[in-house]
Amino acid sequence: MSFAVARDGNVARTLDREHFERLLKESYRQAYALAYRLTGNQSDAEDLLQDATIRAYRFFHQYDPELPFGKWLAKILCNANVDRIRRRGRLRTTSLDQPTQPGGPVLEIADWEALPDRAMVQESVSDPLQEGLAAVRPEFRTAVVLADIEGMEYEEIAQTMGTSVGTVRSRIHRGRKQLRRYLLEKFPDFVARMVDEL
Amino acid sequence: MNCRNAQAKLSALLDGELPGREALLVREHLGRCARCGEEWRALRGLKLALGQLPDAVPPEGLEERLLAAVRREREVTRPIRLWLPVAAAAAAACATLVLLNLRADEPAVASRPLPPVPASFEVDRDQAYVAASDPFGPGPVVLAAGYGRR
Repeated sequence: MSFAVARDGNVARTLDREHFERLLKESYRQAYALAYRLTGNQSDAEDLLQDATIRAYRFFHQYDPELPFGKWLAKILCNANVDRIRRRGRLRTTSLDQPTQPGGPVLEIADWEALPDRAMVQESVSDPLQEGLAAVRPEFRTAVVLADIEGMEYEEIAQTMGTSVGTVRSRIHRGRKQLRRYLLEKFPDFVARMVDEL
Repeated sequence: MNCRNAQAKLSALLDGELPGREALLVREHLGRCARCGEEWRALRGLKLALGQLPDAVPPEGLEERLLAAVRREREVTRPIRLWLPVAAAAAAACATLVLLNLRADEPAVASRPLPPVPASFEVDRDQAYVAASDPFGPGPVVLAAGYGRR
């Protein structure tokens, strides 16, 4: 390797880092807001965003500048969140797709004692919606947050979550149903106010 | 359209993601079914409420902490990046040397000595060749192809 090539490589890396830092400065607030809605508390949101930022930096050479950096970061953040929940291993599996016993009914309501993020629920008691989101399965929660809080279209959510539009449609529907059932059970007055305000 | 079908499509209708004809059928159903209408209003209220949640404000100093994490990451990966080509070249050179050494130990097939042919066999073949080439000889003799070009 000649010195010129090594020097050019160093210059390119410096420019890449500067470019990355500039894009990060523009996007981190929005990314933090998403991380907060996915995790439910400040500490986990910051850890998640830091994890996603490092992943984004490692794979910055794969970033397509034609796409908004914020969307790309959001995609990495969603994937990092799924990994985070898996790593924690808190999820007690209660299938919502299969009957719990042969011939038994398929669960339509989440088992609130087996919440995906039980700690998240306990930390967000001041906000019924945030608590309700924590009660929703992570894949469903991510789809609902991307649709209702981030305002993404189904096609965009499918790209972000690496799945099909059909799956997104199903996840959003089931996520909203879980959220509504939780709120009805825990905060009936809040639900009544929500509908009255329409 | 029945209630089950209609309710399964309420979210997509709410998000403007239902094709025109399906959207029309669901809306017709909502117009005459109080139970589904109630579900529709509830989902709409939920979507609106979620959309009105304020953006969480980043904690103090988050930007600096993120940039510091990026720089730490760069410091961790840079020495590896610098040494990677050198290490790869060294590994390739070692692999080449090992291969050359292995091949040097193994005798090449073409250079192996052939088993000695008895002299009497050579004499017999020469005599047979002479006999076959003699136009006044006793008859044809079968010889290996190309024998005469030796």
